[in-house]
Amino acid sequence: MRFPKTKALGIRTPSLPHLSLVSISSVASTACTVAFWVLSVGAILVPVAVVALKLLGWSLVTAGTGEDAIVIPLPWAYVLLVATAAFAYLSISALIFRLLIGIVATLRLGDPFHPQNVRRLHQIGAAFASVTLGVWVGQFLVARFVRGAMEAPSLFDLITPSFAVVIIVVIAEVFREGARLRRESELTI
Amino acid sequence: MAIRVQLDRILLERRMSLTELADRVGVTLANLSILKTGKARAIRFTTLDALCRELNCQPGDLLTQTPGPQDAGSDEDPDGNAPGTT
Repeated sequence: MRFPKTKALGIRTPSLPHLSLVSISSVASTACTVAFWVLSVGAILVPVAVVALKLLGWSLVTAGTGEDAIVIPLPWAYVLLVATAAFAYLSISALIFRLLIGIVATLRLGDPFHPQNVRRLHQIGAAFASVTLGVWVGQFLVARFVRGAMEAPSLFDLITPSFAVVIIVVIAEVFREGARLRRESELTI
Repeated sequence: MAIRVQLDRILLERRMSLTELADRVGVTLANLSILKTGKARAIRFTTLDALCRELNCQPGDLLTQTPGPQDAGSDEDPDGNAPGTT
């Protein structure tokens, strides 16, 4: 089916400045480094803060607002579970950025198909899958055992993260082939 | 690899060292060693041309084909593991 041609509105959008590969990788390296340190510090501070609040006498938490608000008691088991979950989430996220820093470093050296990048990408895929699954299980448990705190997640919520994991695994296999070609090229005299 | 590089024999006949040949051909000594020890996977025509010019020989003098089974995965895999390991 042919769509009718529309008249040009005469609007011109400014073209984006051309970014060289070096500048993109510099920005990516800086962003990943900042994210890594923020998540690493958070992985320590957040669990410590949660435990400290409990030690300071914080024994209740309110979920929701207005008439639907419910008051949830916070025994030590919940506090430790929340602290552990926060530590796991933030530290695994920090690990993902640490691995990305390694990949970007090889990119800046002009050697992206380094064999270690294959391992790094597989680790990123595994970390991403574990974080996604962990968050889903955590939400399921909170919805199951703390009535009214939140709705239980559905299995459909895992579809998009699953695609992301599959894409990362495919990219890792592309890098594996690239590493093989790199090796062949090194041994071509 | 069933293709053998007869660099040792020809260097002996021409009384030339590997270092001297590397300087003349414009290939690093490391790469020439890889070629000599049979670990190279491929050779460029430009390199072959330079070797034949400096050694005053034909490509057939340098390269011989040995009939028989190929080496099964003599290189390590892209992850850096030795063959046969996971």
